[in-house]
Amino acid sequence: MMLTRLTFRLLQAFVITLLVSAVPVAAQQPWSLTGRVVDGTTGAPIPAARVHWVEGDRDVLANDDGRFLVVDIHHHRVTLLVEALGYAAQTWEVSADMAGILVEIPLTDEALRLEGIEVGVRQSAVDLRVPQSTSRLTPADIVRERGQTLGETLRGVEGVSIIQYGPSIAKPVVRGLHSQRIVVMNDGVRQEGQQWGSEHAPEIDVFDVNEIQIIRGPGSVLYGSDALGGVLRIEPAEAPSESGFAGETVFNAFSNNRQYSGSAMLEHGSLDLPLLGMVGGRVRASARKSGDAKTADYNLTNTGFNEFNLGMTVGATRDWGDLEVDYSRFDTQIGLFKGAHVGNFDDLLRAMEQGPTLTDFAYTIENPRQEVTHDAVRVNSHIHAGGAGTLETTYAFQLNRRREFDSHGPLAAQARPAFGLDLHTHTVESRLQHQPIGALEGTMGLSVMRQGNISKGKAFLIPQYRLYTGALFLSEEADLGWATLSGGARYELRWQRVYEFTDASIDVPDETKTYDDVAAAFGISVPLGDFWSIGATTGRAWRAPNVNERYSQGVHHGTAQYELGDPTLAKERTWNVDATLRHSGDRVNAQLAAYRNAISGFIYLEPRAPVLSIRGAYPAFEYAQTDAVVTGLEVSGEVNLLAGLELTFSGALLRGTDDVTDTPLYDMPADRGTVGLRFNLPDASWVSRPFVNVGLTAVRQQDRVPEGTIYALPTDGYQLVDLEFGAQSFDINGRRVDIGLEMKNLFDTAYRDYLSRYKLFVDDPGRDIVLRVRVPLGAGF
Amino acid sequence: MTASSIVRALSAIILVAAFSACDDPTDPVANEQELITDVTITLTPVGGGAAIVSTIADPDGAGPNPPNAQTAAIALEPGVTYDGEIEFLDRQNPSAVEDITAEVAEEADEHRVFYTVNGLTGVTVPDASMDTDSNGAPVGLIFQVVVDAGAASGSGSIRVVLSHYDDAPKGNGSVPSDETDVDVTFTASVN
Repeated sequence: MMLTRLTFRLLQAFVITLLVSAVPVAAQQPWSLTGRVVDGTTGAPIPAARVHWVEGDRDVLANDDGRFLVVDIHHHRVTLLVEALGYAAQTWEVSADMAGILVEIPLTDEALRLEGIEVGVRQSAVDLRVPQSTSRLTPADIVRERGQTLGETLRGVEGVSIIQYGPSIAKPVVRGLHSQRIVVMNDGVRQEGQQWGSEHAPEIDVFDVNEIQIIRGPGSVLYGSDALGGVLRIEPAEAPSESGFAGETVFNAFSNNRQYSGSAMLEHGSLDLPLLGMVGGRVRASARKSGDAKTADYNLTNTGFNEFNLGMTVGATRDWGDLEVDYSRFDTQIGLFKGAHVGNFDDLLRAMEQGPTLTDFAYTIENPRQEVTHDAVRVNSHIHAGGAGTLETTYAFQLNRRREFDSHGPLAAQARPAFGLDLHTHTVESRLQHQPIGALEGTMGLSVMRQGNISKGKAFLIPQYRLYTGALFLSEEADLGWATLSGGARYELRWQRVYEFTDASIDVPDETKTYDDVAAAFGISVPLGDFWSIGATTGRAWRAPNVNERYSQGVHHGTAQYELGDPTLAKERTWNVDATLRHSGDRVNAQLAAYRNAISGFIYLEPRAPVLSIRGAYPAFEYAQTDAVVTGLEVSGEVNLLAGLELTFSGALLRGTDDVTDTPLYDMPADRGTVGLRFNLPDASWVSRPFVNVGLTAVRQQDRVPEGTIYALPTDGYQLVDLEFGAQSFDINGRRVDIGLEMKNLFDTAYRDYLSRYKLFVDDPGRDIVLRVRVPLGAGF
Repeated sequence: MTASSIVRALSAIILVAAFSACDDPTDPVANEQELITDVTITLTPVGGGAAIVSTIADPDGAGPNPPNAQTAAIALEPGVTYDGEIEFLDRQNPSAVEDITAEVAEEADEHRVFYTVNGLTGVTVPDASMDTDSNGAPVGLIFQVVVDAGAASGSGSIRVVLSHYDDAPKGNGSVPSDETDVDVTFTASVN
């Protein structure tokens, strides 16, 4: 009841705002600036920071949450001097374009002073104190990629690559590992979809993402035993706490697949609700619709998608702490490229030889296709526990519904899904961030999960199961001055029950299995002078075999490969070593990382004798274990060449080897590098911070492939050029509008990426011209 | 925030969680996958005589077990033309056997049966002998096996491929599609 009433009120307010926002706002109106002062290293709020507005000669103090508000500003551009005890003072320049946006101002330790970075300009991802190799996509980075899938948004990050089924399905790969070896934390909750499938992309509404942190290498201690390869931490914006309405409308158009997408958001920081009192709330709706993608030479039949998402957040801050309740819905319908959806092995060879069928562009989505919905309810609270510290508790319920429709065999019944899976997940996690004990700061926690998987389709894919996990963890960090040390451990128990399924060919018995083990990690970061640091981590992590690895049985359509599970698979164990050298200077920010991830009992698909059936012969693979080693080098950075000219670069080399046979591992990303040149142009009365960005991506051929299977055929290298024009904001008749225009794959190059699942049949998409328009609401509203 | 409002907030959450109570995986799953398990060809000599009926069955359909051996030998006589018929059945559930042949006939312009003779000289399955779809292209549910009078004796095989066209049009049906519903090989001999 409470939720529906609130929803109604928010929707009502939303409609009113949309109506009113159609009236342009006068140009010289006074505006307010909201911001938050945070620790640049930990992201924790810095309470009682002093914010001095230089032009207005006024002071405000940040509240307990690090937030501050400067009202009644008449200047277009203001300078803020931000000071807090123990931190280096920072000067920030903010323009009226930032009204309605929460400006985050990170402060750094006095000892580790970085030069001031301007808001809105790509911020440095280099943090000298973190031992592990991480990257961060800031709100500004994410705004520049809006309208794409989550995977596509992450494409430029070093060490991250994408398994792709055309433009609609993109699955992130971190240091060569993906699917069940990567944990996606969405707003502090483990995203539980059917993540084991490589064509099952994360169910995340990119319009609702504010920030993404990428942790390369195991993140098992804090995020779960399956975070063996890495963690993607996705942070939506918090519930607003400033008074008044604010919002945004976003519109994107993509030329390649004629996609248009949009999002509308409205928030209010201080709604006075009956019974609840003052709360902050936000509603967002977003939609994306696309038709067939196009390579340089032809359309990719049936590769469109339709997505519709909703999000609602309500939060309240009181003297005891805060409480936030969210509901989100992700709903998508995705077409799969018909030409790659083959029957038996002969068909596959025929499809490869024939090449694609030429078809006209269409928005229609036919079989084969997927229908996926993901609903999540999340309750999160922080409670001040006095001298003990802060207790954060999160409960979440997620319902993932996946339906896959086939265009094969079943002649009359294609309206019914071939496979249907409903995954119900409840998670509860409590973390106590304790008060510093001397130099020691840290978190201890408890995490519980209950999961049920229901099969609803016509055919068997994986058995129904019930899964419980429980974990205890502790993670501590000590800043000793000469070094920052960190260490942690996690004990986790996984109880899994698989339910009987018998059929003419499939025989899964009732079975219960328990896995438990300890994951541990240790890290050190040593500053070398003022501008350099070196960090190293080492850790042990493990992963229990997944249900699909133990019991899958059947033809994987699209690749025409027969996959057989092995119920006797044992745990995977890894030993990871990672070293990172960082530099953060006046003109250069850079990091260089080297790693070695040794996985014993690595679970992979091993080719076996073909399976013969009435439909012909299928190449067959069986889940097996081996010892694998993944090593790599990653580099990234940015250089201020001249005033207004910035160079960015990134690169990743990766080698995956089966240590037993000394052969390359299947499905490892090719070596790649990117270089970008950004020209920052001078401001004009109608535009603020215009820029031109030219990017070059070069990918080496992938010739390190295992022999004996055509799926692993080598792919050629390729080079792509991107060109982008944009500005932080335009002033159109006194209304602020953000506009960006980008040309991806400028020269319409035909290429096939090694991790594209359509690479045996067709090229990757060609040139794409992207237009992004964002209209913030609420400035002077 | 009062205690009662916290209770209200929590009960709303519990309500949502209650909707999720239907997550019990102990309910059995019904496997309703439609597939072809039996392929039967019937060859009746045009001039009269006993029909040859042979079936290749694969009880697990696309499952990992190979198909069973064919039920009867196909021994052809030189100089004889046989009227052929093919039948596709789904026998997964023995009490409700489904005739897939009828479905193929219904969607004739999306299907075609290919017969490839290997190792037998003088034995042909002419396209012209087959039934046709609405566009006049061969379907192959009905066909003829023509054995020349001079056909050499020996053994070989007849490969039967049921092609399903749905992304690329069938056209004149001369090229197999990349979706094969059935691919089995009967051994055959000429006396």
